[in-house]
Amino acid sequence: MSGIAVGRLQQERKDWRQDHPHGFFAKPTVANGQTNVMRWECGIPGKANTIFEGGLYRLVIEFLDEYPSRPPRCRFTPPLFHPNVYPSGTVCLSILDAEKGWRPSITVKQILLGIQDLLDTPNLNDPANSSAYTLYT
Amino acid sequence: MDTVISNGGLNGLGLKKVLVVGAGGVGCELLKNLGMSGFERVTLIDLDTIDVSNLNRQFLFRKEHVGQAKAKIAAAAIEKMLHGKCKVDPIVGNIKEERFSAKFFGEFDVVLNALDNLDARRHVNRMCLNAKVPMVESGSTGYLGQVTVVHPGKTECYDCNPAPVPKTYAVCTIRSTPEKPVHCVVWAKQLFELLFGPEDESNLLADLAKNDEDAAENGATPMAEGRSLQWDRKQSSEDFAERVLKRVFWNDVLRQREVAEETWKTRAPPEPLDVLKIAKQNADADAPTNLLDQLVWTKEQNAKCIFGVLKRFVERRNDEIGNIQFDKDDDDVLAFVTSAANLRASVYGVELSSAFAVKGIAGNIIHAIATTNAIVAALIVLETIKIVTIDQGTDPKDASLTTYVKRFPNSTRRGKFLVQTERLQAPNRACFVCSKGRLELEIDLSRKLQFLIDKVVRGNLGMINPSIYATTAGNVNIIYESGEGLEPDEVEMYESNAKKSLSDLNVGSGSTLEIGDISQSLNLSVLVTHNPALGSEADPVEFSVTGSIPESASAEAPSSAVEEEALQRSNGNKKRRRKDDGVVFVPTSKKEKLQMLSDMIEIE
Repeated sequence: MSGIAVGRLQQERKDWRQDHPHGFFAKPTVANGQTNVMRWECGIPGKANTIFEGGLYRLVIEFLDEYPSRPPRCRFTPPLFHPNVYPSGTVCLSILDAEKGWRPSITVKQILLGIQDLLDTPNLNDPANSSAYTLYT
Repeated sequence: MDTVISNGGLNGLGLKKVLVVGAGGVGCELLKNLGMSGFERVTLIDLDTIDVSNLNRQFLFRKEHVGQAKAKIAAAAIEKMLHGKCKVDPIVGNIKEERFSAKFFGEFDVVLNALDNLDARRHVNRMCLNAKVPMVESGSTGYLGQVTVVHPGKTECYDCNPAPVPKTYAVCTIRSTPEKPVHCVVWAKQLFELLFGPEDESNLLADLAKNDEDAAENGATPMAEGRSLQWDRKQSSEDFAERVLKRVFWNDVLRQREVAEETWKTRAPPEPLDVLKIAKQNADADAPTNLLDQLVWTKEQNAKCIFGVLKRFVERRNDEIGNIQFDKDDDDVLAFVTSAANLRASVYGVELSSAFAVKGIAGNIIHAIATTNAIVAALIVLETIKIVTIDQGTDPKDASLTTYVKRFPNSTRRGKFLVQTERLQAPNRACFVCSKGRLELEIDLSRKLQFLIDKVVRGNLGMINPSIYATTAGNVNIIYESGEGLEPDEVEMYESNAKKSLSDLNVGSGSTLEIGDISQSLNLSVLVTHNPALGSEADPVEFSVTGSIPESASAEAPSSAVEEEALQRSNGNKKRRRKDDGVVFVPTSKKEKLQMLSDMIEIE
């Protein structure tokens, strides 16, 4: 486990506890009493006045040893039917792509808010699920 | 009434925002002084309500205010006194609450402490360091007082000097050979906790509860194992009182006489006391609870009092037994402790004490003196004015001073002075609060996490909402978090963790604990070493926390000087050792006196 990644994730955890958007949750997973700071479980509420309203969409974020140089992988569990979500549940979003919008300064809070935004404003230039894309367009 | 300094204020003091923490003895004097000096924007925080015992010195309060919030009444009194010229914004609350964040502190030009306890002082110190706001810290006990200033990052913070170690007495002095009233009071408090408080294995008299031989010898019915001295719920109140009194003031004393025979060759042996007989013979004596508490009760009155109060606990408060905490303001508790201490004192030929004196000793309080408070409050305002009018670029060490109020005046060529000053020091490089010192913790790892949280993290390190991340061999485990922003399932998990031992949570020798406090924005790195001997009979110290200078810091400076300084501090630098209440005793040196004199002139 990389010291930089772990240190940053400890700080992310503290920052999140002090300030996080209403209705969201995000925390390191726990197995057999041992915390895994490299794997977080999160919940994103659907925005009001969209078809996602009232739902809480669960997501797992997996951080790599190279984090924060490389972005984490975000996966809806169970997978979500959406033009920018692969059938496996993995989210396709520019800020989560090392080649595109990822910057080491992006926080867990920003990631989750970005994904919440994506729910009702899909990016049709970058489809990840063809049936969802076809249905939507 | 007009302000002392003429209208318009001195150097724009009216524009400065001041936070006053505490509206007690010092706080009342301070508010008046601030208002009269021309400060107009004051925020006042206090969580307490007014008690009758406050009225003698907290002069902003009157009899009709008893029971109301101190902050509100004080604010109203100041506004009335100064015809609304000074606006005091009262907040009823505990300064440790999360709503008083670093952002809240950051809105003030200066923070003034008028507190009465160590925990709150340490917390405010951290918040001020965090928000980079200068703080004036004060303390007053009896004739002694102290005022000092913390300029964050530039001068010593409150935690730069080692925390005081509460005074303890040798076990055998309390248990077998009391010499002073205080030994009897400590003993009586222990007896109280043994009889009515929660079970505590570390109680000095625990053996008294378990030792049942005496009872059997004297033909009494052998009692159940364990808490045999406590009320067993079937006993009548009279039987209970009889048994306790017989055991404690007769059987146990006889045994002590035999056991410590050597001791009694040099001093008078204890005389067992038949408290019950004395109490019953004097049934028509004055009930001591009706007497003024300044008087010393006679042996007969004490006997009657303890017999009555023991019965009273069983008759009226039996549902609380096993869960009553020592509280100096609880009349029954004080009556018990006073009479038990005095009866023990008469057994061992120690002088008797009044309930008033016992209250002071048992409650660890030194009665406040209004004049000391007034001197301290005046000094706080002087330091405050210096802070808010200081020129940019002036070294704060030259501007602010630590001032001590002494019991006796110092004679100097210029006359006699009751106050004495000292220059501020640079921050202690080994301070774990303001200089990122590293801590080393020695503890028995079979202890529960709850012990670590209560005794070490909250008790010793003064945190309020701690989180603990344990790193063992590169793996991070979040073992505890508290405060806001936690899900119910997390709270539940941490509660169950708290009941586990540290070794069960994978904390081992060489583990690093990242202990942080969200509201104080403080993060400490603590290296753990297992020491199974700590907390045993051989070594009653339960844990040890020592500070060291982080490697990076000591590399920057000539190491020997820094290490020497750190060593001197960790050994409890006698010169500047802090007492419970924030008062420090200093020897007088000529240089300091000169400094003080020059400061007096400056003030004039």
